[in-house]
Amino acid sequence: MTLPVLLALVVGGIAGIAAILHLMGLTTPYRFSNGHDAISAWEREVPERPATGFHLSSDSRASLVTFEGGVGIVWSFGGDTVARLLGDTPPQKTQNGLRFDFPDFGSSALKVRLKETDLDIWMKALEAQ
Amino acid sequence: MTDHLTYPDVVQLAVPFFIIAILVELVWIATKGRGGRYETRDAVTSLIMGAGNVTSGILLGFIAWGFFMVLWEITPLDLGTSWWIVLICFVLDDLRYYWVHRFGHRIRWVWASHVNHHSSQHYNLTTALRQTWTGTFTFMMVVRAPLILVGFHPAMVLFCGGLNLIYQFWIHTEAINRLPRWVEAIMNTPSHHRAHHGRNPRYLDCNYAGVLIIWDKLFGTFVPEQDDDKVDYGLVHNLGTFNPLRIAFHEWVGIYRDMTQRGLTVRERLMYAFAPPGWSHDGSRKSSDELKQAHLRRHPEDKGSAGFS
Repeated sequence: MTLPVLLALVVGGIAGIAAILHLMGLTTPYRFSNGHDAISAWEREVPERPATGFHLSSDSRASLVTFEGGVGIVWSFGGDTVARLLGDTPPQKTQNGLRFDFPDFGSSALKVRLKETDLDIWMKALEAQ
Repeated sequence: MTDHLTYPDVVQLAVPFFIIAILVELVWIATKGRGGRYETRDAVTSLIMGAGNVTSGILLGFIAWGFFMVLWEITPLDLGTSWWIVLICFVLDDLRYYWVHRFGHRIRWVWASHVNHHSSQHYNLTTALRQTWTGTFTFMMVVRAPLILVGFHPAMVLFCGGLNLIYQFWIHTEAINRLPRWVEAIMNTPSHHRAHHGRNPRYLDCNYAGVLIIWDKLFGTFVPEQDDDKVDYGLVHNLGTFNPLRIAFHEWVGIYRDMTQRGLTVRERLMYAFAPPGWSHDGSRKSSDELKQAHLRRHPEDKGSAGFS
């Protein structure tokens, strides 16, 4: 197979499959249906630290999770969820909420949408840790 | 001695088949309402990783090829090119694959390359194409050296390796449940490989086979998929990015950061590179063995069951 043919197949294949998936509605991000859903997602990822509380974001795509001795965050990642423990580095305030930067190279920065009331709750929970 | 031997690049030739098979699986899932899940960014990321793998092969393939040709010059043995030699080569290369794959899960340096194949939380045919960009840097090509030294031509060895990879494509699916018992007993199947992709403690470090599952049974790493423990796909600590560069290099960056911490002994620095994933000098992380033990402390009823024996 010549390189131009291979290139066309690969680029066309990726673009075509992406378009079909998007048109099928498979780009819709996951949203937590309630706090128990968020806790379940947290404990799937971090089973050794059972959750003691949660605070959902305004768009239900992230949740702060408290556990004995610390705080973490679980968030919607495509059609799935990801969780991280939160360390000492505080998040940055943005126009729409908070931005979390994680020390591991395997996570991009996370922007969480929070209304004013939710932002206050999150900040208090983060400061309490 | 067979100097000029060529075989087709079967992986490149299979690209149209890969695309068609993905579309067929997608239609199957959409019409049946079962048999797996797709998500746009996850699938596109997997496909980009696959394209990057082909690109890295084109750019860096000369390193392994050069190494193999040096070995071919050295060896006085030449087994020829008859069909049964190709068959033996395929089986022995499958054994080679088993060990390289096992090293890929038990040596962090090799895991750094292989981890991206496990980084999707989905299990569909695009996951099969989520392949490494950095395989050359693991130096696992040395595991192929014995095959060439005993007289299998490098082109034949690579041809068999390509066939092996193509075989493994179709087993990355939830659309096929279980195959007839004799197939499940001998061959690597979707069921066996689903277990391999599990992040459940039970399924960590099992089913390394490429084509023949007999290697896992022989070397004690076989764990059958359990109906009462649904496979949870992905990594123990799942990635929070669809950025292909982060996916391809995150574990290498992790190794670098761990090895360059202050206050470590030389042994500890080397262990961060070559010990099993999850090793840490201060016990702050868990290896797969420790994760299994932690699971058993929470669920003692699982003790002695598959994957926990």
